[in-house]
Amino acid sequence: MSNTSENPKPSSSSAKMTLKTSDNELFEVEEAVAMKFCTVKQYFEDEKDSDVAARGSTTVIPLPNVHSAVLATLISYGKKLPQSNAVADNHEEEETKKKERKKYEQGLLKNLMPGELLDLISAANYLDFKEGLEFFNQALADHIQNKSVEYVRKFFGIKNDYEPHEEEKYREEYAWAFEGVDED
Amino acid sequence: MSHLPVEIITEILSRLPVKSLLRFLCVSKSWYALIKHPDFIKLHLHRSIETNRDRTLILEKVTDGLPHYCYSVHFPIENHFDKAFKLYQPLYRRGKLVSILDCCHSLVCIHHFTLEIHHCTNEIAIWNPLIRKYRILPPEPMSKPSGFNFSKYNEIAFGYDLCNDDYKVLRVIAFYNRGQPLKEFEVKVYSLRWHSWRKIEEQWPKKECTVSSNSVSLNGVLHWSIAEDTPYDMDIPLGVECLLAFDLAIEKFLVFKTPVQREVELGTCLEVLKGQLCFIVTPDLGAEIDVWLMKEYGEAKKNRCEGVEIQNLPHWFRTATCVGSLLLLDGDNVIDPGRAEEQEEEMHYVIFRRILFYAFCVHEVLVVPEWDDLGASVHSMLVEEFLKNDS
Repeated sequence: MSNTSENPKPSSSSAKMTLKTSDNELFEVEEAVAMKFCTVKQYFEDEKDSDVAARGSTTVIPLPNVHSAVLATLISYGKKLPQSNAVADNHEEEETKKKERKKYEQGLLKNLMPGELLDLISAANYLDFKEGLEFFNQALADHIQNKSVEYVRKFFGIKNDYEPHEEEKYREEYAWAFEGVDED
Repeated sequence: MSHLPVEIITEILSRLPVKSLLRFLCVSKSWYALIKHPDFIKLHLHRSIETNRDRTLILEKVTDGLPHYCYSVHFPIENHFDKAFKLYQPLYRRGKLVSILDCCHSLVCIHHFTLEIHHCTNEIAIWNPLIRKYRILPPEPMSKPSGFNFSKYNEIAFGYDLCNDDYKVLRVIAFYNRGQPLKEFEVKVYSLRWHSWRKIEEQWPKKECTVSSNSVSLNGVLHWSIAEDTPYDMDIPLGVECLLAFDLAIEKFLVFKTPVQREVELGTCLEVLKGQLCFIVTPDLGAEIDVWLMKEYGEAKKNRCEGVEIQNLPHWFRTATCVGSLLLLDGDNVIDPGRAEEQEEEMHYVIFRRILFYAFCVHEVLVVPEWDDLGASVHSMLVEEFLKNDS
């Protein structure tokens, strides 16, 4: 699945950058969006310092820890965020955009498998993509909120290092917190 | 797939409601240590306040003018209150009524309420109703100086000491003789961190005055509205009012001029709204109230507010607003007497014989209950509307 069809119409002579994923996919991304990934921003700024003619040239930034499917989602999310260089909207436009974003976010989460959330969070963390990290962290918190202890252990791959009688003690102490939990 | 780094796990956990976190203490020993860590508890509280998650009203049911049971009402969304559930509180004793003193973050300070004068040895507890744990304050005797025959609570207040990250209870006992104006005071402070009382030399500054409002904790300082005593004994204080403050960190009393100018002498209600001290006064017994917001000591802006009626709020008073927090995780468990199921209870209208005035702040919303002979209604004001007048 090639994503070089990611060519948006050049709206305001925004420079583009190319990101290369762990599975060797190339993504062409508007600079405004790519700069939300602070790791990329840092790399770009380091490159700029070392090579005077670097700006606008075809530097490909490698992201060996990020898979293409994951990057696609993060880029897609990044595009929906209010751009820092955008012209300030009036109140109505802002409200409409907010609603659109909410709708997009709901759609996005609906189609995600819980396991994918872990990948997205990992990648957003690696890319230092603050807004994405916040959004997906919250999504994961919402997902596990009502889950059982066993589910959470399995999900995060955590080993239970309690003795049975120790665990039993906590279950009794907070018995009411174990009520109404989702079935596994 | 590699495991998530601990900072990310912390972030995710800090977004969970209290009930989930108490359950996840069981997941593993490292999660237990993480959740119980004071830094995490702070982070979680901060998040909770920001997002109103776990926001709950703790209400006292008042029957015949006396405080009775406690109830909790969850209200995640503005102006929308879930059903009320009976809540067992830790000072539940046969024949003894418990009253909510105040609430700071999610810690509620409660004590035995009695109409008797000599109630200085009644129990006080600090309670987190959302995690169902509490700590009873150690009993602290009073030392009555010679020459005085009577003693009574002058004031008891609860607040958060910002500088020392500690929750404190202030107790002031007045000693007096019948018919004589002279009083002496004993001032003691309890610290939750040290779980002990200390007598402080600082004296209650105004000998001839009555506290005319509830106490409110803001920025590490306790505040009261006080009025100078009048010659006769009246419920409604007259005379010059001022604002009394007690700094919990330096443990000193300060007196300020009150910024409120009132035409009619009615009790003042204090609240905290948008991080500012808020004086709520009814200019007359009408439907409007005056709300004064104090930015700095001695200066306040007045706003007259009309209400937006909201339905569904249980008609009780003396409330505390809790946000979700794990504060007091290592306290004692609240035991339900008789282990009955939580039940919804019928609401009853309560008619007050005196004009009492309560308000409480529900995150950004000030809620002021009102009464008339037909029952009770509640008006709430949204802060944006309210602060529109504030330039």
